[in-house]
Amino acid sequence: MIEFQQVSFTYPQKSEAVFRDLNLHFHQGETVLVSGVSGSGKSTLLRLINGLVPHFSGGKLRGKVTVNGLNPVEVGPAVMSHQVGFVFQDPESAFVMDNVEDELAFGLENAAIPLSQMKERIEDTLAALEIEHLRHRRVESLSGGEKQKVAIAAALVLRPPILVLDEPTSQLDVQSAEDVFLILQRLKRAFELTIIMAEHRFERVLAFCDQMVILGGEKNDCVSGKPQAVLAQTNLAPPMLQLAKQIGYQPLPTKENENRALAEYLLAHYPKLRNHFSTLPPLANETKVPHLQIEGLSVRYGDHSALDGLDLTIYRGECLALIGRNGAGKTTLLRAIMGLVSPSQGSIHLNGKDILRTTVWQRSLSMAYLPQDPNALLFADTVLDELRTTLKNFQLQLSLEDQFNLLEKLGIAHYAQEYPRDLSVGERQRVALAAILIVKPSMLLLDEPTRGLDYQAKQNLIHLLQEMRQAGMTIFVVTHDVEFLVQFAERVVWLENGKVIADGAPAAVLKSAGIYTPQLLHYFPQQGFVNINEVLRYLTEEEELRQT
Amino acid sequence: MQRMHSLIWLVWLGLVLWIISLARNPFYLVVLWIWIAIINVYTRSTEQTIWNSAWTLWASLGIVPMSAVFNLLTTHFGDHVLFNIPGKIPLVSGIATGEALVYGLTNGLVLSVIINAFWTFNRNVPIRSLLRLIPRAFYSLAIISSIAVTFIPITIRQYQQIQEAQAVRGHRMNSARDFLAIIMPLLTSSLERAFQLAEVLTARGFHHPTFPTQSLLGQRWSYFAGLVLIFLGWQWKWVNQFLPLSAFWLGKPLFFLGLIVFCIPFWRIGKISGQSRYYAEAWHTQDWVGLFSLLITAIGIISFSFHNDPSLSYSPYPSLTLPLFNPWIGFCFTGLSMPAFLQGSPKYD
Repeated sequence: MIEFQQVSFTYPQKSEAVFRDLNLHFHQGETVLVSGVSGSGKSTLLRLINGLVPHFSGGKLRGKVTVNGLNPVEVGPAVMSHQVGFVFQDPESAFVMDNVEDELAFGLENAAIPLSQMKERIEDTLAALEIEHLRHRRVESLSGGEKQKVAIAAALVLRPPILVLDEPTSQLDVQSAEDVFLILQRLKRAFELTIIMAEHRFERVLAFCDQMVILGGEKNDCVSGKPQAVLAQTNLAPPMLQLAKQIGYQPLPTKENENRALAEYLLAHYPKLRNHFSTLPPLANETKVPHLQIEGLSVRYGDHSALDGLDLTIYRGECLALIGRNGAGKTTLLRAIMGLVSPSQGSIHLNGKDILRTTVWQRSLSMAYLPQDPNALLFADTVLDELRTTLKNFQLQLSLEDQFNLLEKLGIAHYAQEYPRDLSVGERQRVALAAILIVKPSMLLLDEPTRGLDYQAKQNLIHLLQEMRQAGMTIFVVTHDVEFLVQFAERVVWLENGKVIADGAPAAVLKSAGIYTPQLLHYFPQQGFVNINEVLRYLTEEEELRQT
Repeated sequence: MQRMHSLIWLVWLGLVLWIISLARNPFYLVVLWIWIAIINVYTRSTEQTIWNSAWTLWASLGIVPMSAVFNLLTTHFGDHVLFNIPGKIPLVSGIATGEALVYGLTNGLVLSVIINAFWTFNRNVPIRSLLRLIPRAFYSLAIISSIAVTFIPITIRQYQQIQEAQAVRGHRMNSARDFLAIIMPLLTSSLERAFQLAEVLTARGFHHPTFPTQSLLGQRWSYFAGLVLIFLGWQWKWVNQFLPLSAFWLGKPLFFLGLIVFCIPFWRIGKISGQSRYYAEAWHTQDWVGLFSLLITAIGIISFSFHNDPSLSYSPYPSLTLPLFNPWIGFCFTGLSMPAFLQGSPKYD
């Protein structure tokens, strides 16, 4: 169906090729997962399939790409649009029309499909994705998950045999992401689609993917094949796979039943694991000093209540994660804390002092807030200038040495004279962090910090947060990424419809959280494992015991 | 009730703009603003979109004092001196007059009514209908227009996000230079978004129709010949004096022939542009009623204009007087509300 023969590609004005001599073969009806670190060429690979690369980007291409018998380089993206439906990372930026039905009709009108066929195809596509109820909605009023479904529908309405998705769930909460994956599985069966998907959160995709490609390995090479075979050669793996690799368990588990079998095997062969029960003590809040106290906080947007009498206390030096669906009120809570939105009622106390009457400027001196999109902060010519801008805004003085120290701590000192927007997503996030941390606040508020981060960048962020916590900083993170939060958070708060519905230790809150349950807790509910290091420690101890 | 036909809303918008150009009387502008605000609120749907938010009305009203103050500070003509701005500040120093204040106020009202009218038009006419109103030959232009409209809410949201992100790093707006911190990220992200949209359009099969070279050459000759004929027809009186035979009657036919020759390439492009249309708007009885009410309004205003009603034109210069007000003209504006009341909230929302 899709074949890459000795493909190498270099972008214009770049000396290094994104990939060299790539040989891949995807069969009809397969689901292929493409993964790899940022900048490894995932998007380039996907864009080669429909000819956007090199038609749109320019650059040097060697080798041959064949897609359903066509050469995308020869025929171009317009012809390939009948063969390949392409779903982009950010669906909102990809909409051309203002209404769902028109968005679907757009591609059909371009292809000059007769009216009667257009109606039939739109009906079929809306039904296949179960979004008939969205037909007349304006796209800007849709939720993140709904937008992504509409984007998939718009790509499929031309009935292409191939569907290509570039990180389709990176902007979605866990439930919406799960919905998208379920729909993809159903579409694959209904239309016999070949699905090629780039995805960072691949623990949920592995269950239904037939082939896996990992780009940009240690030697900038490409590994492809059956998921088990590929995963055996890489460090990028969900927790259960890491455990299987640790003990040499075969076959490597990728599906639900395989993971369950591994859990049973581990419990049967490692008694220490079996005998572990969640020993986390209840949070002894009375011994801690409150840092931020929120009482009865309500925020309204017109008729809609975003926060509804919310009570929450964050303690000094605590590392707290806030979870909840899109629209639950998580970002509103952070904005209310920072004074970016006015509450209709309630109070916020920082170190015992009422801050409701204080300005954003005053609050930002004690609390650093990093919004979802770090690009919104960056505008200076160099990384160092970003720091200086913040210092100037707050009329503060800091020696160049101290500025470099902060950059060093964040691992970006070597980029001090670089243009921030030229850096990778993870690096840009660190620059934005530096720009807000330069005033030495006592609390850090992060909104979806793992958005768009690859596995390695995520690990770097975890280490950074752990270091900050050790330095005594209070950390409050809003995230959908449960596998990320269990690695650093000591407390989890679950927000739904503007109210706290659960608050406690990660294992306690996430145990019965359904889709939010992290992989380890899902397979070891009795033991309450959330962090892989805990399990690995037991495995190592047991192995050592056996050896002695 | 069904949504009014887009043509009715287009006529409505044209009529509002025409009235504004005709009647620069603050009283009429206020009446017009109130009517459009009522239409705006009446046709609002329950969806949380930028087009439905109430702040757009207040934002448009905010232009009025801004314009009045700006004109007061920068225009120094008139007899009714309110106060004197001392010093030698370029443009600003000098007398501040009542005439300048009223003139600025009127300009602000004109701008506010225009913005409100466009906002109301956008709420009531979906992009697909706008596209349908544009001939197929200009399909690319139509798509660009539609993208521009979808760009507005995203850009406004992005502006707010950037403003907030900058605020939490201590940014405050003290001088024009401080806008850089907002404008630069906005510009960069808009360019990135434009680039992505171009990719999306390409990936979804949007492309210019391709013409054979010979056909392109023919088109160019057709444009040229059409323009020559139009010019000849227009200036036939002058051309005819150099001819041995008198043929004054030939001017108009030449002009129209030129128009036809000029339009042939557009018709051909439309034929080979290779797009089909999904959406077809039906014309209902209510559309006739709406059109009729707008026509009555237009006829009413035209009749007052023909009779040189002194209240229609107003200027605070050379002497500041109270504007006149003819209640019958004010009553004529009622007709503008008919399309909204016939339709109710837009169905497509």
